[in-house]
Amino acid sequence: MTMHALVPSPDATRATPAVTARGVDKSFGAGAARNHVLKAIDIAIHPGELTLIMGPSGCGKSTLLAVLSGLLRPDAGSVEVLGTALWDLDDDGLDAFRLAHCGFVFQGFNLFGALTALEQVMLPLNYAGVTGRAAVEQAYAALCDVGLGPQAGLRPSELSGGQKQRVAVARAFVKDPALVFADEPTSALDKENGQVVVGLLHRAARERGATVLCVTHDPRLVAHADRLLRMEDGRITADGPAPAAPSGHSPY
Amino acid sequence: MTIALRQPGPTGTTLPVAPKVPPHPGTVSLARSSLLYEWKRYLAAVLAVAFSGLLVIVQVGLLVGMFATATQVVDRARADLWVVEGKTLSFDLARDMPARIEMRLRAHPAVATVQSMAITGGDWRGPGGGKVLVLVTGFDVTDGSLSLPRDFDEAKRLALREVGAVIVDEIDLAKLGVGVGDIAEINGRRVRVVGTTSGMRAIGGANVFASKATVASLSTSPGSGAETQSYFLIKLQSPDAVDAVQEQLQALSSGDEFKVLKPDELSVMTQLYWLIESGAGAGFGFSALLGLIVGIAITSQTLRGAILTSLREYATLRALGVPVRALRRVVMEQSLWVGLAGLLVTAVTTWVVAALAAAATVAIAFPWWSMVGTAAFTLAVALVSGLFSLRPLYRTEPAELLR
Repeated sequence: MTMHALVPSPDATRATPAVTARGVDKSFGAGAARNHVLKAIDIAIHPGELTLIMGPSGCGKSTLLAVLSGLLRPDAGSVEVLGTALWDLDDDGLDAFRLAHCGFVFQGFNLFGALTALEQVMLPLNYAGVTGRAAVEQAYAALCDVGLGPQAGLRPSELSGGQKQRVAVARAFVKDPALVFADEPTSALDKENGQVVVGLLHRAARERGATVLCVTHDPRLVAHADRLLRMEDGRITADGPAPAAPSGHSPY
Repeated sequence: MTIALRQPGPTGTTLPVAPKVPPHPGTVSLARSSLLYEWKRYLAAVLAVAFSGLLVIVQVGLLVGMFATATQVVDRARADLWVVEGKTLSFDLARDMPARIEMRLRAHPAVATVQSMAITGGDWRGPGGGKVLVLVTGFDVTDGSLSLPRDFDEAKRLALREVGAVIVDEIDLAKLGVGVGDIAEINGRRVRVVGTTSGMRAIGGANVFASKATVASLSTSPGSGAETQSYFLIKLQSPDAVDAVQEQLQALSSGDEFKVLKPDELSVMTQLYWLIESGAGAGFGFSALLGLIVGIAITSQTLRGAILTSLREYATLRALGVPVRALRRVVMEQSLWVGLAGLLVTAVTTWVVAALAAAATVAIAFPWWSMVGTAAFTLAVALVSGLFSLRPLYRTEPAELLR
């Protein structure tokens, strides 16, 4: 692969990459049905940036996200995240790593019907060992951060789609993760709510220095991204600063 | 639209000026919240568990109740120890043993009194001519009787002293075709019903209670009764020494000449004998197994359904780094709660069944071991169901969410 994926930007002030992938290869199926989804991908993702991966359906972007986030083991290649060789870890190690460092936002909101917004956000905290008053305060702060303080006591059935996704964002952010992975986070939302959610992702990168990697085919997100990767047929075909990326302020 | 910027500052830190943080203990129980919020979904499981439990406890109750009637004479007597022939397996099927054993029992210094009790089968012929097989028990009717049931009052004792006087269970009056005061025949000899008792009905046929003298008068093989006895009842100087004396008396037996038993030992031996010998035990075992299978099938399917509908949420927790074992604990906690709720339903319905049975004078009994056993059985149904329902959880692949 070309070197430009490892040195994607001439910006010399960039911090060391949070995620570095080398020669990542992944196939599904076997024999004639074998589907070569990722083809020797090299990539480096930097902290403090919202990096967008775009491409047509089936180009492998979601698979790449899964490999980089420790959810799917690649057939070949290495992924180094925050200085840890991710795929050298065993399953327990991967769980512990994700629990400590990773937040996820999915296309579906995946909220438990029985839990209030506050409890949805508190749950990963509990599993990370934070309980009691500290858990309540952190979860509530995360909810207030996404503008849902007044809705803390509501269940998913009482929330709109946009509010649900913001709860999911709060759940992803509450542990203050160094890495945030988002998969089509806006595709189930209307324009306004989509803007709010991408704004939150962007803010996580800017204000907290998180590494935010977002897979999407929603062109509305491009304006918010710091960097845009285009994928096609298992390869990265373009890499560069997002066109007309606004710097410093949100347009909404 | 500045909604997202209302609370500046990094998340995960305590707010400088905490707004009204909602009251919450700070620990989320996914298991309990789901159960309470989606109780309708779990109701099927609770009822299945309760059904299994009820099936077991009512059957045990009926069997115990039925077989306990066979040992009412033992349970209501005042003896500290019973002596029966060595090969006897059931109280009501006692074999005769030599009467001279009495002298050896009496010789023990801790023994205060030894009395005998007689039992014989007979043909009952009521005034209407109906024929019933009866078991006639011959009590000692002296003042210090050890065999006379505790609930037989002085009037009954005195009435039974008359040879030919009998007492029957009130339930059996119709079966025997008599009322109090009526004359009937046993083995062709006249007897007169002088009173009734309750809760001492027989499993088959009918029980008839009389004095030893009456039983002797009914004997179809005269002459043999003098040298043999069915039971010896022992009263000790001090009931505290019962275990030691039981052992010492048992040592007097040459081979399996006789057995010395405490009343509850004789009762349990008899009830177990009937449970196994009558085939009721096997029938019970079969239906308990059926209850187990049905209970586990319904409960595990319900729990499995609940897991499947929350699969994406569980997968999200997996992605966030929550290990599978933590999710497994959620499901097992749910099954435990389902079990406890089912147990509660079992307890309430059992109470209703017991009340109905009492109203219909059906013999049913719930000894502590049957309750503890049923509770364990019920919880086992729930927990095994939980284990069976876990499979979808192991297939939770968070990467599947990225499609």
